[in-house]
Amino acid sequence: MSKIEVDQVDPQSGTTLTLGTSGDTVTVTGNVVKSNAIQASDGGNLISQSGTTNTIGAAGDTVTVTGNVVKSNAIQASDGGNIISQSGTTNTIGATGDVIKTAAGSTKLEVQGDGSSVEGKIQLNCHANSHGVILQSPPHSSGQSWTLKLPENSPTADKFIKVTSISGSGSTAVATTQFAEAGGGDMVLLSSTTPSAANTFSIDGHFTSDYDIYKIYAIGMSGSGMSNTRLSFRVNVGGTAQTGGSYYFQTVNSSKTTLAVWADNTGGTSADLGYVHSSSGSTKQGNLEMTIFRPLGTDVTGMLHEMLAWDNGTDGGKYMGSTFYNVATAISGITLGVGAFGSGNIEADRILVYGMKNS
Amino acid sequence: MKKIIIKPDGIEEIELTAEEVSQAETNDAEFQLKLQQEEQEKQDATTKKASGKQKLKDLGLNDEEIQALMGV
Repeated sequence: MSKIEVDQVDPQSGTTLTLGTSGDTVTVTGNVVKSNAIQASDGGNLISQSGTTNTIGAAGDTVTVTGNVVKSNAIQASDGGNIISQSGTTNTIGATGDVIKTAAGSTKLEVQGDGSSVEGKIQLNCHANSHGVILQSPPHSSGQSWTLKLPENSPTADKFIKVTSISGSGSTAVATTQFAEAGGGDMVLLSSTTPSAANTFSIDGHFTSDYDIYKIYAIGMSGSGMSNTRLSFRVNVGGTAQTGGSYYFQTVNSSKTTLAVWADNTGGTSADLGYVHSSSGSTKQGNLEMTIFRPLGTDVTGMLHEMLAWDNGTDGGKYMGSTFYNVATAISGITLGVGAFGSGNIEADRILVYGMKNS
Repeated sequence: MKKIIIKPDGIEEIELTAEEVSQAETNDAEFQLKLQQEEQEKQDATTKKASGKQKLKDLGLNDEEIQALMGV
């Protein structure tokens, strides 16, 4: 096939340029570019222009866009839904019901500040979109560029998000977090209750391997109908108060002009802590503090106890002592009761149980 | 009467059984007996102390000498 290469072919006369004759096929392997249109091989316009209007295709054509359609205020997907649309200065990504996600491998979504005074932020709206809460960057002046990873463990009630370790340092540190106990205190409140009046209060099931030392407070104590106005206690094993003769205790009674010792060094069936005023709701209240060491150890459990109380509501005093439950076994709790576990009721405004941190 | 069980997840109230009420009454009686015995022992000790002091006086010791010797 011969080839003519020229930059321009003009008509010899007039303004009509004819290629070939009737019956010939003139093949243009590319598109025909006209001054106001690009024509396809069938003579129909692919794109034509009239004034400021650009038209894609000709009458009867089907225009197929395999990608997205870009409009002046929206980018539409093939289903007609907006991918990005604009209204005033608000740009909306996606349409109602869509899920917006970044492409795999896009490892960071960045919300920029305004370049002068307003920090980047993310707002999470209520379902009616009438309320929204905002996560916001610290100010530029703080110079912070750290990373906070969400907790690596499952959420648990009463826990806080705690930084457990960091990589890097300073303003660019990366923090690893967990749901954990709040720091700053060595005593962890395990239980706070206000029991109604009863013959006994069993405080049970709080001992775990998390702590070796426990504090139990019974505050605002009084009683009613007590056959014996002392306050006694027993230890629980497997949830049951133990009655065997295994309580070795010494409690110094220091009240008014009395200095005496309540003791049992042969193994009593309970131990005495102090007095309570057998008068319901008495203003001469007793207050007890007990320390229990290693209750889950399979050895003899030792306990310290102190009580401020009023004997019969008239003689205030301090009752301090110690008790060993002389059986090498784990205990699950203690039971407070009317003196020597006789009849009547004891009362307490509140009973608090704490675990002492080991470290 | 009832007993209260305080656990980490809440409070349980249970009425005492007849057996538990009876045991409490038995404990009352035993404790009263124990108190009486303790009181009697205390009284016996006081009586013996006074008796011993009198015997020392009968031997011719005065109160200061007895105090120095015995602390009574």
